[in-house]
Amino acid sequence: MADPLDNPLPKLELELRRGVLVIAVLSQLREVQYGYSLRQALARRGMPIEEGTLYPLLRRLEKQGVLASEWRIEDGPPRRYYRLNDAGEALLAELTASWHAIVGTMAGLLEGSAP
Amino acid sequence: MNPNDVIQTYVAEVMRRLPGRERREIGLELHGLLGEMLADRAESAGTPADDAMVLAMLREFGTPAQVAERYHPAGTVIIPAVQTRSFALFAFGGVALQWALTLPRVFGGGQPLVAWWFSAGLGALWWPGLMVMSALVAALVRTRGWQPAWRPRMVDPDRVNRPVMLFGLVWFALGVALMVSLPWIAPMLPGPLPQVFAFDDGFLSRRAWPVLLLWSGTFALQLAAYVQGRWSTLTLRLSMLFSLAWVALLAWWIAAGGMFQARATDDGARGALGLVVLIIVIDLAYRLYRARPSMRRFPATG
Repeated sequence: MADPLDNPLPKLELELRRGVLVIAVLSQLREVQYGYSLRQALARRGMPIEEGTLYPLLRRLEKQGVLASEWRIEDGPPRRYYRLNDAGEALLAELTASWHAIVGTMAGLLEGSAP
Repeated sequence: MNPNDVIQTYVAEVMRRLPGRERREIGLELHGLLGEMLADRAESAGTPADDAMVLAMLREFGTPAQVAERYHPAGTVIIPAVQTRSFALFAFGGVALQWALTLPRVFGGGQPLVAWWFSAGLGALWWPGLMVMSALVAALVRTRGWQPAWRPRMVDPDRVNRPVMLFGLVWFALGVALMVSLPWIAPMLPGPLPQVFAFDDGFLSRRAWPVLLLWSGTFALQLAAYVQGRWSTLTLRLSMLFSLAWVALLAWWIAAGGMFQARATDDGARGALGLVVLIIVIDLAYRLYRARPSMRRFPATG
């Protein structure tokens, strides 16, 4: 009997989710969000993401020039709000097209391998 | 402790590890995030945030070093995964070889262990240091995008590289000529060199002569491979036999000693010959490994 510790599923599933993280984050930044609200929005839609991963990712995307950010003080502490800029919108459109192509290919592959 | 103070301390520790220009912004953002996470936890638990709650949350979040690492870009790989094993093997092997060559003096009572450790013992670490420096230079070159194109360098492993072999044969002949004429050249050298390089008469008359046979045989074998342009099964086997004969002869010389009249020269020669024996044994082992059936050829495809 296989040792549950040797079960590769959780790790492989994590890798799978990691691959779609950028497109998931970009998809939610068509509207202005700050980090914590973005995390909650993703979690609500079934894509939970650790804060420790999300914040560095947001900074990386901003450095890559696809996000715009600004500090705002509303109800509560100062928060940094992020939003897609024009380059981000274009990137999201391209990634969405790629995503649909991958989903189509995978559907065909999985259908072909179904018993 | 005030939970906010704990968060402040934690964020300060993260900030200390971040690049200066981003430190303040990341710190501010992280502080806000942790505050909101804590407020959420307290709300879910239905109790005000306390020390235990904030500490548990921060421990789950990661150590300050781990958190700071997430904000750093992926580091440069100094030693690629495919080379890690051979790197470790060569690094440890090089140190072990130097210790193996220098430790016998300690066991023979010629040098105290502490003196050895602070000279040859620690000194042997120059080798892994050199390897690390070389790896750093190679990594720097890789980061600049320079990557040599692959080309098949050993389509036929038995084919000889004629220019390299000719170069080796010339130096082989020159070296042999020098060694054979050394007993006549040494007395003509200036200063104390005649005494330094004076051979032992007993060695020359009784133990030196087999080397002439081995030199001649090895040279003839190499020349045959050079002329044919490749190693045949016969020349390969003969070459291995000659290697074994060299090991036997040199081991005899090392064990018997008394090659040179001067003790220091003799000790130095024995050490150098020991190294030569080691190189021959490694080369022989490598050739035997390469000669394994599985290494020779894959089945033809297509």
